[in-house]
Amino acid sequence: MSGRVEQLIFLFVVSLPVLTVAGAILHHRWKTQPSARRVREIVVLGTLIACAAFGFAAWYLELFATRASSQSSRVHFQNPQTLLWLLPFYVAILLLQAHSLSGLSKGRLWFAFLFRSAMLILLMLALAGLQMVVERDILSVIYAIDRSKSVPGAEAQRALDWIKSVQNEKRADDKVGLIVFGGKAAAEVWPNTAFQTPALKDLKAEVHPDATNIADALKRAGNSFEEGTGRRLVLFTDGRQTQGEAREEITRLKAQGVDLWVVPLSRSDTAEMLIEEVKVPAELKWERPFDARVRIQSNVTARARVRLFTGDRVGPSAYEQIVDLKPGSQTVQFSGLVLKTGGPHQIEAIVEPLSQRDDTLAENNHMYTFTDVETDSRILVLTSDLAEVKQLREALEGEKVSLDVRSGASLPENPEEYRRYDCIVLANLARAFLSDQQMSVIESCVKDQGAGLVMIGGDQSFGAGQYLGTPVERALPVSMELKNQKIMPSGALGIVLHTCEFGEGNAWGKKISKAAINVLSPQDYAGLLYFGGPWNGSGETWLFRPTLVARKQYMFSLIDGCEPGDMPNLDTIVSMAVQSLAALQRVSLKHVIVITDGDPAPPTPATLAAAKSAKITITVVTIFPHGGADVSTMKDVAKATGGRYYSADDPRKLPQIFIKEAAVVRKNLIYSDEKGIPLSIGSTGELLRDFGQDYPKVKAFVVTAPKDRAEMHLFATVEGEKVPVLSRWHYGLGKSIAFTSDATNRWAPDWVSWPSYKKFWTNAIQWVSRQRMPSNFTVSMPPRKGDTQKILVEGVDAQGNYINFAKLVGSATEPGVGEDLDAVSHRLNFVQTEPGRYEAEVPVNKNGAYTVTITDLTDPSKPNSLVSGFANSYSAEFLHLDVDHKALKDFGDLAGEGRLKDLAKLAKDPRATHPFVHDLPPVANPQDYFWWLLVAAVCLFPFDVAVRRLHIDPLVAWNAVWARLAPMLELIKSKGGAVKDAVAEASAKPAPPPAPSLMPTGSDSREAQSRYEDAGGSEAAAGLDLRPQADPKKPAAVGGAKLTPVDNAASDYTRALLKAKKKAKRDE
Amino acid sequence: MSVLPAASRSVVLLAVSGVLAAVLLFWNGAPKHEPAPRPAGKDAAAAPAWTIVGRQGLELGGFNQPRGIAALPDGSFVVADRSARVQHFSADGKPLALWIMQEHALGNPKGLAALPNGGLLVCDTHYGRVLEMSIDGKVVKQWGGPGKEPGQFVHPLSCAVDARAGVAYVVEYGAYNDRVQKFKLDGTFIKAWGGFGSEPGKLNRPSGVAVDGQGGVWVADACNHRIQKFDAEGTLLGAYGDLGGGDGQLSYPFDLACAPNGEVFVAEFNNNRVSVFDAEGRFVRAMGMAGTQPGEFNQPWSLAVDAQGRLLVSDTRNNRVQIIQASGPAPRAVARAAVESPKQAQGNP
Repeated sequence: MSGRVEQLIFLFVVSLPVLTVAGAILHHRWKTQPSARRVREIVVLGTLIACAAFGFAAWYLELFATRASSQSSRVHFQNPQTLLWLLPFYVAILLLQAHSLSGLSKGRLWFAFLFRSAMLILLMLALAGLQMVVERDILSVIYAIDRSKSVPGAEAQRALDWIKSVQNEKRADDKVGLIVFGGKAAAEVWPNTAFQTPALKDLKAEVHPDATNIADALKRAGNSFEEGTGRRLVLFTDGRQTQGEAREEITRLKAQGVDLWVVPLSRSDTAEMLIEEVKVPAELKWERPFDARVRIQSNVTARARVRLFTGDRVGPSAYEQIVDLKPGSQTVQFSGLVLKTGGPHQIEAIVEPLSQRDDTLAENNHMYTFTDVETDSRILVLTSDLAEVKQLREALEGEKVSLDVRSGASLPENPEEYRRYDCIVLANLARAFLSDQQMSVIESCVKDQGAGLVMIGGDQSFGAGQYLGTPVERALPVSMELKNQKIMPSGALGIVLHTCEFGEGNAWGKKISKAAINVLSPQDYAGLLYFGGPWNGSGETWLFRPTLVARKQYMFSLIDGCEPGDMPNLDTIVSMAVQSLAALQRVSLKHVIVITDGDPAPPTPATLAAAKSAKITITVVTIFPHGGADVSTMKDVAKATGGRYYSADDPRKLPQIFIKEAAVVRKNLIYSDEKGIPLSIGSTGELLRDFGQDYPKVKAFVVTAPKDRAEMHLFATVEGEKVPVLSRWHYGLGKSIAFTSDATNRWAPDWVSWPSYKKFWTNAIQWVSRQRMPSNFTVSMPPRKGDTQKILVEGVDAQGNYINFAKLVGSATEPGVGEDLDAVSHRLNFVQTEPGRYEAEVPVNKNGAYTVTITDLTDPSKPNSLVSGFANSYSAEFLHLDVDHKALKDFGDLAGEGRLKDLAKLAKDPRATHPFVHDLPPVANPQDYFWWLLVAAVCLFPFDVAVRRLHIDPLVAWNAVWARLAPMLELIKSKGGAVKDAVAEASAKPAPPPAPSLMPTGSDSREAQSRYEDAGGSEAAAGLDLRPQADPKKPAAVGGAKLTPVDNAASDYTRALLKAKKKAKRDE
Repeated sequence: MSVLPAASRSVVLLAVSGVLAAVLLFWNGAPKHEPAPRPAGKDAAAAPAWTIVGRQGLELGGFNQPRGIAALPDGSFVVADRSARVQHFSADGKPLALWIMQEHALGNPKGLAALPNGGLLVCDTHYGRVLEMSIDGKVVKQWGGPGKEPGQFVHPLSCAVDARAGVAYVVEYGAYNDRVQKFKLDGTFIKAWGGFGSEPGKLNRPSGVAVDGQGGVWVADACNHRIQKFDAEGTLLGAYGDLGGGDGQLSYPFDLACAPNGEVFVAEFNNNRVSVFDAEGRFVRAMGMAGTQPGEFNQPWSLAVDAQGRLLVSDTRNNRVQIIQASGPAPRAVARAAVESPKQAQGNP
């Protein structure tokens, strides 16, 4: 329906009641007036009404139809056909009214009619969906400028220059905004009417210039447009996008009605060289030479040095060539490279121009790739100190194995990482360095996956390393629990804890006590004494008597809560400790640690002698000793019994103290003989096949017990018992070897210098390691999108069927793991997406080669793993040297005809083509009035009822109100008058009589008041008496004495009214 | 209740429950138990009142584990505490002055004794020396140095001055060199006796020494849980007490003092009380018990008796000094105590 027609309908509907009334009046006049007059009246009235109507219509239509400003509003009906119902209802009202409201007076009748019809009209308009539509002709223009590194600043400046030049064409109401983008988009200037073109250096938004995400910029710009305005977006870019897909976004914007202009920015002609690719075979065979090809792109002729790094620890690791580059692409080849270490490698290529001006961006001069050198087995060596494995490494490196040696802090934290190794070697690593979970995984690697486990002895290995009762012990062919009584492994530790004058000393003392107990084994005893304070006997008391250390946590909580008192004397307490330990049966090593500040009186020589005869050694640890005398006394105490003395003045020394002290108790587990212990052959087997009958002696080894099913190849005889030195067995799917002496010069110098040392260990490792099984899976890495790398694994079994529901576990280790503390290992979660196809994703944010290991655990008896990798080099942002013409053309096509502009042409004549042309369809903004109309109709309803039911005679109402109001007003008036009178009287009298005063005060006031009242008589009535005066003679003293007779008629009337009222009341 | 309308009923209920709740919340249960006045040992005569001096703190008048205490002739007293501070109090307990030992990195001074010239002898335990100081904290002279030779000290714990004889006694322990040393008041070494051990005459951590009116030297032999009496030449006159908590038993007697009437007061570190013996070493009474109330102690290190018979106890862990009139003045006629034979000196008198 055309706009004009809607306006007219609206006008008609709204003026309907008025017209009806006017018509009725005219009709009435017509009826009642004589003919001559009525014609005149009709004409006059009719003209008046017509003029009014016309004037109103003209005003209404003109005001709302103006287009002088950029905004126009008009009325719109959503469902105009509803209005057709209006007429019959309207007529019905008129007719019904005549019927039902006939009892009303004329005026009332018309009022009722007006209310009724107004309600009806409002309802009808609401149902017809009356809307006010505001049309605006405002244009919003947003500029989006590409500020990534692929676009030089000069180009952005050209764009800004053009923006400035077209700014004059902007209309006052138009809004302009500016967005800059790179990897992300940011608003530089929000759309506003007072836009000032910023200078290039003022563009401060942070946009990640190492990438280009045009789609994000378009989305952001689209969201920045203001509602109800025309939208035009001008995009300045070189078309090279590294993230996101702009084409989809353009299509979407177009559907929303945004007008997109695409303005290409070109690259400038700076010199640039970059490495496009480094190609090496993804897998290399052992010691097989290979070639590396480096593809370099340049846009100038230049001389450059190309270097290649292979990360080889044994062979050469860096290669170099000088090349002459020509514009375009060329390949530099490095031939005959050989890698001498096995396992994954990161290959890095670098190109450096010999002259600085031949290259602008340095980011694209590095490129990484990944390769894996195939070996027989991957071995993980864990040790407490690299010196422990020095000789072993020398023996193994150069063999066809890939050795991963970790110590101390670089032990792999993620337990799953242990799964990819074919053999795990624990070389003198104490249990304390491994978490329970890691030990369980190691056991599971052997039992369930067939890996190999080797434990090599040392003072922190086997039982001395507290492996008793651990999963690792279960997997080994020897047991740490020595049931043989003759060797008698249990120890007992008594701790004497004394406070010291300085606060921290107590804490340290407790720490040492707990740490010492912690390294004991569950079959050892520990007890603790302290000066409990003055409450019992001489004060020395047991915190807990020598008890089996199985209740370690309980002991710790007691120690924590203990408050060691100020001990005056060490003798009593030490002698208590000595007596108690001496009484313990079947404990071979008894030891006392005294933690004190040296102040108390030392133990008597008698006590010390008793300790010595009971073979109890006493070690003294002084914390903040007072001085030399204390120290020397304590030293003597320790020496007298063969213990040690420590001064714990440095908290860093504390761990050494307790480890050494605990080792004293555990010392019995290490059997040593300086002269060398001869080894005898138990059973022969593969491990010893090639070595004849004579084996070198060892100086020491850790005492263990053989397990029934294990094969004991070498043993030593200790007290008639066979104690294993070299054992092996099968455990689950895997195998393990225990060598209880060590592989260094410390305990086995004869072995190290033995010519067959290398062969022995290589043999052993080879036997115990898992065989690499060919994998049914292949790995591929699709090109990377954004920050994550997808890893695709496809599995096809021998029959050619897809392998479904495989249980794949894997990890991707960041470059530099082992050296770089930040480098982590990401767990890969594989999800099956298609038959035989599994996908996982890895976040990539470091440059270098990532190693990917995947193990298939579907069949635990046949685990197989494969190793692959990928490299992350510089962002694609730096990859290309030119504009992406195809992308730009696509953008332009999607945006529409003629939307691909040329910046040069635009800049030449800004007035010819500028973005402020208002050729976009205007935007309508309808505003709904449904609820307003409804509310208005409802509000009229009570009036409708009131006009019919409520009989309010205004005059009567007014009189009633006045009847109430008047007495009050009179009261106020008379009071004021009475006071005035009194004042006048008082001032009139010459002098007040001495008593009583006319103005009484205090308690006399009431009495005086009454006197005053009497004195005043009727005239000076205090005015508080409103009771009706029955005296007809006196005028009704209503409100006060001085009634100014202002209006006789009114007062008469009021009186009469009051009388009537009272009468009515009395009659009730 | 039915006579009351419903609204009033609920109001009354509310009020009653409110009162009950308040009572339950704020009432602490049985009224506080007032400790019955404890008779001091066998002497059930009217218990005299203890005066408390000081409280925990590092300001003037505050203590951090007060240890050594000495009474000055004018009734005032000095106290050394574990922060290497020495404070001078007036007779009625008002703090007068305070000084800090210049060197205390190795440890704090322990025993004090008043010199007749108004100065103080301070046992600087961990520095192996005895310092003669003025009452305002200035070091006048140093006696000895670290060592085991005569005239040297390992850990001097306490000292006593015999003004009439013009000598001072210092007891020390450490390095199995526990002994008593006798000096002239100018610091000249006279003699030493004792030695480490547990036989009578030997010492194991002698941490207190006192001189009685006849020139006898009493030593608190802490780790042997006894007190020993010597004459001025070092001859053993008696050893009294053994380990325990009963009458006449001792547990780590850290210090003792001789009252003018001949009684010997012994501070027992581990029994938290003061035991009183007579001049023959017989147990008289015990005062105090473990606790924090007046008259109760917590590991008292030291005590002193002044010329008026007032007992001042260094109640160490309670960070205060307790004062009481514990003893009468010196009897006019001093009966010479019969010298007991060493055999009789053992065991409980």
